[in-house]
Amino acid sequence: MKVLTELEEDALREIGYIGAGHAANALSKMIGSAIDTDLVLATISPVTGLPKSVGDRETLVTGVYLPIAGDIEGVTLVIFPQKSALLLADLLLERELGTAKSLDMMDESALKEVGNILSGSCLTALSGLLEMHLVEHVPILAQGMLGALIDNIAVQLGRRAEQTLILGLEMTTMTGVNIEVFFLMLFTLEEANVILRAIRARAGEE
Amino acid sequence: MEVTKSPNRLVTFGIGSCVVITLYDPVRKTGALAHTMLPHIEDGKPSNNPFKFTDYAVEEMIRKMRTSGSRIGNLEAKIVGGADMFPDIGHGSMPVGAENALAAKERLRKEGVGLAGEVVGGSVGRSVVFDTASGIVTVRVKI
Repeated sequence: MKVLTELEEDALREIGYIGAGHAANALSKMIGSAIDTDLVLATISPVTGLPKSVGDRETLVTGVYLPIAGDIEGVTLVIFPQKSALLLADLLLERELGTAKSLDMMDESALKEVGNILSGSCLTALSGLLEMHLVEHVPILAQGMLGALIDNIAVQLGRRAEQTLILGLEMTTMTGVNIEVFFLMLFTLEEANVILRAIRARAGEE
Repeated sequence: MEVTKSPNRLVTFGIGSCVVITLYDPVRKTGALAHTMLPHIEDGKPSNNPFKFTDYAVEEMIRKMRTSGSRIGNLEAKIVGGADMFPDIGHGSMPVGAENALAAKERLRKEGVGLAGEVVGGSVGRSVVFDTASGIVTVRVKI
C-alpha cells in the first residue's frame, strides 16, 4: 500500500486548503454568505474510506458527480446531506428557508451548478499550482444513501485501482443556518503519482 | 465475506451498484453474506481483496459453507443490490450494478445453488439484514 512521505502529505494538505479556499470563495459568492472550510482528509486509502464526518452509509444525501479530465483523470464528488441540499436550494432560488421539502428539477439544476462551480474553482487552482491542465465534465446528480452513491463512484475508480488519493473538504455556511457541503476529489494511485511528482517538482523549484 | 450460524445476524448498509449475496442452510442454520463491487475477477489486476469480485466471492462462499458441513442441495441464495445510482453516467454495454447481479446469478447457477429471492436493479440504495435463525433477508430502503 502506498504510504505518503511527510513532504507529500504536507503538500497535499496545502493543495487541499488552496483548492478549498477557491471553492469556498466561489460558493460564498453564490449564496451571499461567508463559508468556513475544513480539510478533513488528504490521504491515500481504499476509495470507500471516506471521512466519517460525512455520515454513515445510510445517511440520505444528494451527490453531484463530475469526472475530471485533462492531464490526469479523476472524480469530483460534491455531497450535500439531505437537509443541507434542501436549504441550499432555498438559498440559491431565493425562497424562504425551509420551503423545499424535496428537490424539483430547478433545485437539482441549481445544486448541479454548485457542484460545477466548486469543482471548477478547485481545479483551476490546482491546475495553476501543479502546472497541469485539469477540467471538470458535465455534472450528474443522484439522491440516496451515502453508501450507495459511494459504491457507484468506487466502481468507476475500482475498475482501475484499489487505492485512491482522496482530498476531502467540509464547508459550512455562516448564515446562522447550518448548511454542510462535502467536496471530495478522488484519483487512482496511478494518477496520484502524477500529482505527487508535480508536487515534488514544485518543491524542487522553491 | 462472512460466514456465521444462528442466531447471529449479518448486516450491510447502503448498497448501490454493489451486490449482497446471502447463502442460507436451513438444516444447519448457518449462513454467509458477501458484499461485492465488481463482477468478474479476471477483469481486474491482481487484487489484495479478491472478495470484491462477485464471481470469486460466490464461489468461495459456497466452498466455505460446504467445508463447514452444508450440502449444496440445501443451500438457498438471495441477491440484493445492483442499482444504478448515477444512471446518466456513460456505461459500456451494461451498468456495473446489472453486471454484478448477472455475475452472481451465473455463478450460483454454475455451482448448482438455487436462487430463492432477489431485490435488484433500480436506482435506490438498500441496506440488508440477514437473520440466520430464520433465513429471512430484510431489505431496507430510505427515501
